[in-house]
Amino acid sequence: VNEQSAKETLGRVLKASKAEQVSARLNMFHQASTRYSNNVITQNLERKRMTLTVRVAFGNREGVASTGETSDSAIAGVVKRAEDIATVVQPNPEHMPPVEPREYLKFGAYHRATAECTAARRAEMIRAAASICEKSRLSAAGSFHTGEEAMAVMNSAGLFAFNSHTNSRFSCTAISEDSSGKSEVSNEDVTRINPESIASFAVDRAVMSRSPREIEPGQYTVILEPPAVAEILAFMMWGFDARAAHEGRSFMSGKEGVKMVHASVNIHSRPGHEMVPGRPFNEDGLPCPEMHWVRAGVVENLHYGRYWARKCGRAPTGYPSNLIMDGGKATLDEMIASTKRGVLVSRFWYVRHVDWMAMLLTGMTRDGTFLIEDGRIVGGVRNMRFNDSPARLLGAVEMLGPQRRCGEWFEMLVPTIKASGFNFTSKTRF
Amino acid sequence: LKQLMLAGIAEAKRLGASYADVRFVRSRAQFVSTEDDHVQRVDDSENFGFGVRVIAGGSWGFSGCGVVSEEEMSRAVRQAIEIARASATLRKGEGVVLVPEEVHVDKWSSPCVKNPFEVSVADKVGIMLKCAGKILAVKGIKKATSFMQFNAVSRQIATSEGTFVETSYVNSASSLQATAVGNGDAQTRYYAPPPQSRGYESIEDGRLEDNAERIARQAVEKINAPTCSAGQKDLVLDPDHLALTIHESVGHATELDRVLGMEESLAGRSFATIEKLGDFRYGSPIVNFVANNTLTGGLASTGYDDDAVACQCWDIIRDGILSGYITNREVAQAIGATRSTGGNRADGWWSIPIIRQPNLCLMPGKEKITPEELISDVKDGVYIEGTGSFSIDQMRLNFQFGGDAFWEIRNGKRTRMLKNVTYQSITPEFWGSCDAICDERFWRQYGILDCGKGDPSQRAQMTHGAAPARFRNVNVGGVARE
Repeated sequence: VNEQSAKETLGRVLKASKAEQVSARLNMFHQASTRYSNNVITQNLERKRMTLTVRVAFGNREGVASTGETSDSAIAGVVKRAEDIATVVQPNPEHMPPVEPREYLKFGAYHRATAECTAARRAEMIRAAASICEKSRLSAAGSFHTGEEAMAVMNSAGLFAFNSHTNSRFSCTAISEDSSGKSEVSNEDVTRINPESIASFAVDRAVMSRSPREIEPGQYTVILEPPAVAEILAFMMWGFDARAAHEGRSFMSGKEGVKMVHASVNIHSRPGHEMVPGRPFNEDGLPCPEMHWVRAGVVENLHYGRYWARKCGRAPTGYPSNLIMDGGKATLDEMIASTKRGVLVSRFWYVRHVDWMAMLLTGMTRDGTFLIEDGRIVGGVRNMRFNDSPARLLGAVEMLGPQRRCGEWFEMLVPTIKASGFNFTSKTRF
Repeated sequence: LKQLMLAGIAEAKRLGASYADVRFVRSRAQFVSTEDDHVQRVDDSENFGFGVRVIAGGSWGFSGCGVVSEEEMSRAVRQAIEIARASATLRKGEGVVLVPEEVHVDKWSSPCVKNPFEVSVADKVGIMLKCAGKILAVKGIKKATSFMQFNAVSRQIATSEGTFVETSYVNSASSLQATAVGNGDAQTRYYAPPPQSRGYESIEDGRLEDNAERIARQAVEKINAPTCSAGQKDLVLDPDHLALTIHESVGHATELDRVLGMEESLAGRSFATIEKLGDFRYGSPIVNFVANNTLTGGLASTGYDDDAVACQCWDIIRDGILSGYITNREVAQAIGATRSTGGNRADGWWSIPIIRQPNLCLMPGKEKITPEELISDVKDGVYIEGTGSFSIDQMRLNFQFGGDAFWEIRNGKRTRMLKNVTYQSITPEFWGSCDAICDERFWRQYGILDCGKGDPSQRAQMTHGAAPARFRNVNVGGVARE
């Protein structure tokens, strides 16, 4: 589907509706995914999916319906379902009219090589990674996804927006009897994915963390590598909703404009960032924000939805499509060398909120956790559970290192962080 | 459609597939939510498409397509074969071998008295706003939210072995939430009737309006409640809390694909490895877990799984000993099984089936015992209801759970509410500390609506039944904000 055909389809939707306000959105996905474990491919698929979503309103009575088809009869059906809802449902006093036409950033995040990557090519790249693990007598597991997506939005206020992009993600976990290491790389351009270097990193971490010793939980200086930082930062950023903060339901209540973390911490979004491109617009057509959330440790902006922004007499922010935390000049080796006793964490796993009002999180270390003593890594340690707050952690930053692109929940570019007093609370058996 | 499916299978066989299936899925979902005194969102979605799954060269290939035509079927079959051939380049040994399943030609549907899609949206919102009114009328409440969601799914599965099954089910779920704000704190309390594979009648049975004021008052009580002190305490856990503990520490741990390392790169593996089968003490002798995909109203009761294996009932833990796993036709042979337990499910036509948890239930105690009797033998403990924070390591050993509502137990009596309670344990130690389970009079079904697994990620639903159960000397608290 290209911009022209999306425009034609959405135009048919707008014509088919009698509602006072109509917004229509097309989301198209073509995804290829190969999964492997124990050095063999265990799952392999390709799929194409399209969703047409129609939002209509009569006054402030709203209805939303969606379908996977775009024939005239399917469009008539989905419009009728949305209108039927809007005709009978109770009014929504927080209804917002469709977004007015906007200008969007243009940036290239579409690569033909990614869109056209074949199953044979995916298998070849996985074989390259698996062989590196096998050479070190380690078992390899991971996945390799490639795909293209497009989103188009049109509404009765005259807005039309179209964006398409490609994506690829390659992960490799190397596993020994008592240790593991993982690496994962995402890029819009599949030719930038190097399976050998991804596997080599995973192998190094698995080998380094063999025969892990058990250490007692407690407060430690930690060096968190970017995948660990990305995991807990995402949970903190979900707390940046202005409405929840203003209603006293969030850790961020009263923190707008206030210094919350260390002065070296800057967190921002920039959709056109060359290393971690986001998206030009949200699902309603509002541009994705380019703004600072935290600057020099001060909370500069919260996320304002359209209704709450109107109520507060300001512009909505839109929802961020990427997050960037500025890094520093310290190298990982310098961070380790400067640590008397601490723990190096490669990544976290199963992080969840424990106490929303305290921004308290829990989670486990995974795939390479190391004890540092007298400025050097002395070996792997068994995994531990933490209970701590990312806001407290970012207030106790001692050093910032180089950034890496990662993130399960958001596309992120975040640094390695050294911070004091991280709270490990229990241990596990491996 | 059947002709199109059979044509697809014939073409797959002609192109060299040793096995093929075609699965058509039509689904419709409705989500209705309110915030405070108004409707927030009403969303009615539908989709239709098919997936082709083949084994060629000893490996799997899958293609999913949302455009239904002869041309697209042919294209999808060829693509699935090409993908399988690519997978086979890394094959070791003979590759994928499926355990046998008898040929089924059948139709199945879940019980549904009142089609939720025929109930007016205004009626649904009307009930939810009445509940919101009751919640917001309680002093100290700042926020009231609610939702109802309904899914109707119909599937047709044809296999190259001659099976042709048609199944349909309807799921219904709802929830109310009240948030109190004050003293620099915010606390929520929710009420969710058990989600079930039934029609709108299950929402009516849930009596939302009768519970709205109660949860609002408890949210206010919770905000003024003391934080739980840390230490070793006894726990008495309500069935609607146990559902998630069961799900995370027993359900995922006994999925055989995880046990075999096939989920390592994302969700992880399991400590419950296959040499432990029939021998490993997972819990105390009173702990019995039964997987039952024939349970009426169970969210995983779908007639057949997506391997077209008939739904079954089997032991996972018997008298505290690990006794079974959740399998599909591919992995069952790893434990010497001659038949799959029927655990392979996909979350739509676009997804390849993966092993999913069944309706997994902690069986009631054999001795007559009431919740009051469980509590009466606790000196220092906590009673926990509902779901809160949850986290577990990738081998399913170290877990930490919160809850939704907590009551202190002192000298055999349930007393005041507490807040910010968590407990942490190691799976076999925790189930080993279970010393009493209420009898079948107190056994209830709850469920999980949004179980994420797989890569690409898929969602699934399943029921977990239990009666209130007591656990001795569990590590409680110690992570509160102070």
